[in-house]
Formats: sequence, structure tokens, C-alpha cells
Amino acid sequence: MKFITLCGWLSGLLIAGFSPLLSMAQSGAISGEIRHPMTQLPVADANIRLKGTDMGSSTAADGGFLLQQIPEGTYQLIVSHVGFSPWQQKVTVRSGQTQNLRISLTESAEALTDVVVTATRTERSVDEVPMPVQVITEEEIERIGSLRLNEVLQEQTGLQMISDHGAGLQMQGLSSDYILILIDGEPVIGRTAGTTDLTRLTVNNIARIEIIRGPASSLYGSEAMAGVVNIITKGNEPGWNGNLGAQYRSFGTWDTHAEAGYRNDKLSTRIFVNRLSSQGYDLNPETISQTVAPYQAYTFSPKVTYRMNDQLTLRLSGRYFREQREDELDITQNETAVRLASEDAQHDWNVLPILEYRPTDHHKLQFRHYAAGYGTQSDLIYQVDGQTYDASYFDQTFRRSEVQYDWYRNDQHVITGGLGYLTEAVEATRYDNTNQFTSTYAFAQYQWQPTDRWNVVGGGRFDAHSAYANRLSPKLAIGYHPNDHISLQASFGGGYKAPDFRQLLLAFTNPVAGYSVFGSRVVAEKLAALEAQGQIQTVLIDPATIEEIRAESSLAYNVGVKLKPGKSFTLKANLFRNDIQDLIETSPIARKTNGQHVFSYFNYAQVVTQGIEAQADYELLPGFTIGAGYQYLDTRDKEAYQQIKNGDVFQRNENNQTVRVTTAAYGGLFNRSRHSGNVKLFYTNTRYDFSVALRGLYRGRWGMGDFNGNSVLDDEREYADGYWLFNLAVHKNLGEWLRLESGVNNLFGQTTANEPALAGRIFFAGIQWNFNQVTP
Amino acid sequence: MKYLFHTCYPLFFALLFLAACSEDEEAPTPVALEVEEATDIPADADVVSGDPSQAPPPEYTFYSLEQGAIIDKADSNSTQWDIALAGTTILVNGGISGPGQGAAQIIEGIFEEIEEAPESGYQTDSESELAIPGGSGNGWYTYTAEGNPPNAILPIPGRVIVLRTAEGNYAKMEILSYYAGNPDTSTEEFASFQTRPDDRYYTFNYVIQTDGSRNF
Repeated sequence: MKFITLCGWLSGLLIAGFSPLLSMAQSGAISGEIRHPMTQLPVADANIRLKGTDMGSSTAADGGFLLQQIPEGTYQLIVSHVGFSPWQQKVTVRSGQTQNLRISLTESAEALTDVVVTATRTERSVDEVPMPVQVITEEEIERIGSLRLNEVLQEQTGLQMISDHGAGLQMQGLSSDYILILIDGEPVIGRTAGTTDLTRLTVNNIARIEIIRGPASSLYGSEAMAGVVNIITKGNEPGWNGNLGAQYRSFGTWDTHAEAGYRNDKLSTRIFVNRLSSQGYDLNPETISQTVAPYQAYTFSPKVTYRMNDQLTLRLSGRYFREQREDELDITQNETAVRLASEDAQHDWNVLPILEYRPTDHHKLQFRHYAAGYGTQSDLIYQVDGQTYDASYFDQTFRRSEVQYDWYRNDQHVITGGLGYLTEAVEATRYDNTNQFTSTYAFAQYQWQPTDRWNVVGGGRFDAHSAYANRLSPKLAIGYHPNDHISLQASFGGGYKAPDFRQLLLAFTNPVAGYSVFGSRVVAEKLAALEAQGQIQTVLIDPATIEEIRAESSLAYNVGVKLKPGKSFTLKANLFRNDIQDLIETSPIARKTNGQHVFSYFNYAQVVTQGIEAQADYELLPGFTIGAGYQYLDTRDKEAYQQIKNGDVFQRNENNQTVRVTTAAYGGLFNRSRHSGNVKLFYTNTRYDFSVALRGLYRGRWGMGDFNGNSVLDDEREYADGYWLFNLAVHKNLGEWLRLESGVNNLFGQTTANEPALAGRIFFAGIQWNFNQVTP
Repeated sequence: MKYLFHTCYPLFFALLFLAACSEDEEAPTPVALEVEEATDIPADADVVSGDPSQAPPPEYTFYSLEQGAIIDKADSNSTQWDIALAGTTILVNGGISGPGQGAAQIIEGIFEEIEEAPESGYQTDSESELAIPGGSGNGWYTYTAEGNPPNAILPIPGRVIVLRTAEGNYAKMEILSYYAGNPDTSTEEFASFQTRPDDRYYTFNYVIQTDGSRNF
């Protein structure tokens, strides 16, 4: 730390390399202690060694170590431990002196692979968390050559991408509406028709992705019903580091990014920029509008961490994203075709300051204030004269202040509690005025490890909201780990999803058909207005008698097993069931004089999703891994199922006769594949420094839509055919800094009208340059 | 690959477990009956979509089940017609709609299996409600909105309209299609607005009992 020069790292290496020559000189010692990055508890059994020598040791139970009889000189000290990224530091040993070091392995968990933060909002080893947790590492993201989050997630067992107003994730049979996407623990806001479009999220700056299956509302509140995907962005190694990369793909797609970071004892700062543009593609050439219109998207994301002293750390991070799309379309007006130009833009931003206070090793207090926004603007313009045909916008803001306290009492007990207050506001073309909602919440969690073999996590969260009924979300999870080869886990939890803006605020009358839809907050007022105008013939349900709308809620069960019979084979399986009630659907509330209805939103449907997910990985030869995953999914609308059972649902057979639908013919919810899975081959050649990743992804047939008018999935014609996708990527490292990639996505050019996201065969090639200048 | 067996073992049990939750029911064999079919009856088919408050009054097509023919508009105030069609709206010749004895109700079941018209439960068209109610899911059709196929009117299988004609005879009818040519609604051709056949064309089956009894 005394010699901060750009070459310090190199000279350290050189001196360390020559140190055996100096072994006859006088000697000194190095002592120190190693601590856990977050808890500051001692880390035992960490490996300590001096690079280029055979001198080394490991830490004792109190985290301490002592290296003696070290010849005078400068060394590169390396600390490693399973679950932490290695630590390197230059140390100068002087004759007769003892250098005392205090090392916190890394300041954050950003680079750690075995530690997860999402499942308990505290840093825990994956093995200690008794819930279905999956970690996708940076290496796994890089080796498939992906650009956006949807490409990474679609290759994971049990996850499905559904095209519905963007690339939406489906997990445990639940759609994007019920999945919370987080960046560094804070929610990505902005949904279109319920979908969080994952193409908004670049993967170039991701250190790892943590996926929790099963409800996590007990910690995260609304929308964490099916699960949570948390993107952990890259952190810094000590010194300067960064990268520049570019990838070119078919359909005129360019992705470029640049990232730079610097870290010393006090300060860590990092900045990331990305640009993605594409000419899009068209699967229906007979129409003028494209399936995916040409677009350009920019992401900018800075972050700074400043350690004021041993107790106080301030973090500040942010993000800005903007995307623009341009297309053309034809409409029919007065029986003549008119061409319009469409311009769509969307943006999101967020700012997150965190103040972290650690008075002692056992206590951690965090204040977080998250502010975020999402907006869209959509304009349709006549190409002839530039006049506006239609313009619409949507603007949402989200602010949340939160305090979280963690008490690491000892190895057995960790207690977490938190309080928060959030404000959400929305302004949009189809809503009147600016609408603001507030919510106050509190959560608590207790992690108990009575013995090495048992883990228990219990907790809950209470949400009081201004626009819908209060919610209590409980959680209990138990893990049992009898030996190194097997671990079992079972969890039970409650999840919920708040009514969305549309369900609360929509004020929409279809100009063509003449029906109206009003959100539950505005229906009484809007209906009264229509009555005053004489547009209402009969009121079917008096708005005064309607109960306050409730959040959609679920009770979920997960039972999992992990087997590791040998070093090279792992098998994971998880049985799940989600019982969802109070699903919000539209129902008529009044009849208009034009014969159409006024609709509003009510809680009534009940849905079940259940199934099993299994994943096996086998290292066939060193560097050659084969993996296979499978999900069986069974979904059901309880009311529809009961009606079918009662013989009250009918279909027309191929002879155009009406027959009763049988329960055997009932296919469950639309857009769900009963069978899905994948097969993956990974090969890494260390001699020539290249890797190959071949993946086959199977999406079984799924219900497309109700073609026969009975509102249930029951007819063979209502299914879209299943398909396989094969993706291939090859990487080659040229020296330490340069990396080349190339590959083909959708190797066999699979396309189907039922999945607009399948563009056909896509070739790609890219290059990335990394730099890393370690300073002591 | 002995592991393969281990991989499939829990799956097998899960499948068994899940499969046990569903039970099969035998489909009853429908009784074949002679039925009349009315095809592609236009229902205000020339209307141009637009703001309904600006739209001209609907042009009904008057149809006689007794004669199996479209009735001249000039006879709209007579007992010549039994049902009148405009868009998705169906009137029966009675109440506010006409001078006849027309009344109707919708029952759920298999058209061929309905061997007798119910004794009671018929509604006439009134200011507050039509005998055959409109709206998606309420009467004879589902409107798919943003579903697949989009913005389509699909008759609900098993919804049978039992009605009294203007003359007081009983009839049962089942609407098969709202589109010209009774197209297959599961095709891409139907899903696309460019190639979808014109709407506001009814195809329906019906059986009429002219002896005054309720037996079909």
C-alpha cells in the first residue's frame, strides 16, 4: 500500500518469482486475520500462500494466521477459500518485523459464486439456504454469447419465455405478472400488459443471476409470487479494470459495450455503457409492419462505493435505459388503406443510495432509498401529411425508503427485520389525472441453524396499501443436509400480487365495439357519469355493494432434493405446487343502452399450477460436461375444471356435433407447455484455450387460444406444436486479455407463426478486450 | 448411463401423482337428428366499424324459422319473422321487438339431446334486457378481445337458444358461426385480419316443431 505505482503489481510478481534466491537472507513474518465480507465474522480454513513460493498456511477458527521465517522481500499474498473470490495483495517483509494484515475477503458478494443474497436478503452460502435457489454465473452467461436477459433465462430448466407485449418470463407455470425482476436487490419497474420485457436488460455487466423459485413475498412483497430473479451487477477487483466488447449478429444487430472500474481501500467506482441496435425482422412479409421493428437501445449504469470508515459505507448506483423503435403500418379508413408511421420509445431510470452501518461484527443496519421511473411514448403519424393519428403515453414513478437491520447473533441465529414506505404514481393516456398510491410494510425473518445438518428460515411481511386490502405473507423453509451427498429441503410460503394500475384505474371505452372497462378505483364515479348521460340501461351490480379489491394471492409448496453421489454428478429435483386465489378478472357490472356492457375487475378465479423440475449434470471427462433438464407442468383453472366435471362445458367435434368436454381433454391454462426441457454439452479445452457450448432447448406444445368459443383449452387445434431449438457458441481466448466468440443461435432455422420471437437462424461473432491492472 | 434411471425415477412418481388427480368421463354419444341449417345469413353486414354513438341505427335482417327464409324488411311489423339479426344482437318477435308471441331463453346442453322445450323460463325482449342477452359470455358468444384469435366472435358450444316463434311454435337453435362460410377459427388465415372472412354472417342449425307441442 506504500507503493501505488502502475507497475507495482508486475514488480511484485518479479520479486516474488525470485524470492527463493533470497531465502538465505534474514527473515520476517506476516500475521493477520481473515473476515467474512458482510458479517465480519472470522473465516476459518482459508488458504494463505505466497505466490511463487511453497510457503503457506491456513487460518484458525478465529480467522487468524501466521507465516514465519519469510526471507526479506516483497511477495504476492494470495488468500483463497471456497465460496469467496481469491484475494491478492502485495506484502513487503522486513527482517525481524511482523506485518499485520486484516483482510476482508472482498467488500461485497458481487464476485462470489457460492453465496446468494436473494433468498434471505442476507448473504448465505447456497447450501445453507433451504429454498430452490439457482445461480447463473458470469462464465455461464459468457459462454452462450448472449446479449439480453431473455436469452440467458430461456436456456434454464423450468423457465420459459413467452412473447406477450415483450419477452416475458414464465416460472412454475406463472406468467411474468407474478415474477419480480430485481437489479442488485431492487425491482425493475415498468410492465406492459403485465409483462416485464427482459430484452430491456443487457447481460454484459452481470456478475451473476440468482433465481428463487416459489414465493418470496415474505421479503419482497407484491409480484414475488412465482419467484424472484435478481441480477447482481459486476463489482471491482482492487486496482483498475474494465472491458470493451462488440458483437455482430444476423438481422443487422450490433451490440457494443464499454466498462471501466477502479477500486482501492476506500473507494470503488464503476461505469458501464451499452448500445444495442437491430434492423429487426419480418415473419409476415405480406404486411408492411415488421414482426420486430428496427430499434436502438442505450443503457448507462454507474456505481460508486465509498467506505468512510470501518463502520460506515455509502453506496450509490443508478441506471438509465432508452429504446426507440420505428415501423410502418397500414390501417383501413373509410374503406381505403392508409399508411401510418409508428414511433415507439420507452425508457427507465433508477437511483439507489445505500448507507450501511456496522457498529460491530454482529450488527448491520442499512438505509436504502430507491427511486425509479418507467415511461413509454407511442405515436402513430399519417405518412401523407405528418398529422397525428394517435398518440399515447405512460409514465410511472416508484420511490421506496427502507431500513433493514441484520443481527448475526452467532453461527446459529441470524435475525433480520425491516420497515419501508413506498409511493407509486402513474399518469397515462387511459387513466385520468395523476394517480398516487402509498404502502407501508414491515418484514421479519429468523434464520436458525440448530446443527450443521439443519437449517430453518421463518418469516413474514405485512403490507398496508392505500388502494387494496392489507396483506400478510408468511414463509417457512426447512433444509436437511445429512451428509455431503444429499440435501433435502421443503418450503411453504404465501405470495401475492397487487392489483395493477389497469385493474385499479383504467377508464376505457372501445370506440369500435362500444363497451367500457373501468378499474375498481374509478368504476363508481364513471358509472354514475354514464348514468347521468343516460347511457346505462340496467345496473347489474351496484358499485356500492362491491367489496374492496384484494391482491391476488397464493399458497405455495416446494419440496426439493439435491444428490451428489460423486464429484462429477449432481441431480436436483423440485416438486412444486402453487394454489392461487382471488385472481382478478373482468366481469360485467352494467348494461349500456347500446347493448354493450360496462366491465370492472373482480376477484374470483382460482388457479393451480403444479409439477416437477429436474436437472442432472455429469462431467463425462475433464472439461466435458453434459447436462439435461426437464419440467413437467400441470395447470388448471379450478372453476373451469369443475364445470367440465359437471358436464357443463361443450365443444364441437370434427362432424360439427356438439359434445361434452371431458376432463381428460382439458389442457389447463393457455400458454403453458406440459413438457419442456433441455440438453446441454459444454467442452472446455485448456490446452488451446477454447470452449464450445451446444444447447438443445425443447418447448412442448402449448395452448394458443380458445378457437372454439368455450373459453377452455380442450381442442387439439387449440395447441401450437412444440419445437426444439439448438444454439451453438464457441469461445477462444487469445492471451490473457482478448476473447473471441462466434456461434449460431437457432441452428436449424426453426420458425413458427405461433412464436414471433423465433427469428430464424442467427449467426453471431464478437470480440472482447479485458484489462486488469492490480495495484496493492 | 445408469444415472438416467435415477433421473427419471422421481419424475415417474410425480407423473403418477399428477395423473391420479384427473379422472376421465365417457362422452355421451349424440343422437343424430334432422336439422335445418341456415347459412351465411347477413346481419347488418355492410356496416362500417366506427364510433357507435355516431353509427346509423342497425339494419336488421328478419328471418323466418317457419319458412326458412329471409323476410322482406317491409314486413318487419308483422308476425312473418321469428328472429332479427344485426351484428351480434338477436331479437325475437315479441315484447318491444315485434307484434308476435316471440320469447326465448338460452339453455346449456347438447342440441340433439334437447328433446323437449322447457315449459317456462322464456323472456321477451324488453327495454332492460333482450331475451337473448348480448355481451361476451352472457349469451351465445365469446369475444376473444386480445386473445387468440384476436377480436373474434365465437359461438359458445353447448349454448342452445330455445325460442317461441312469432306464431307461438317452439324451436331450438344453435349458432355455429358468425363469419361468412363458417370458417375454421383455428387457422392462421382466420387469425389474420387481412385474410379473415367477413363477420356478421350467421350460420345456425335449428329444429322447429310446428304441431304446437314442445317436443323436438
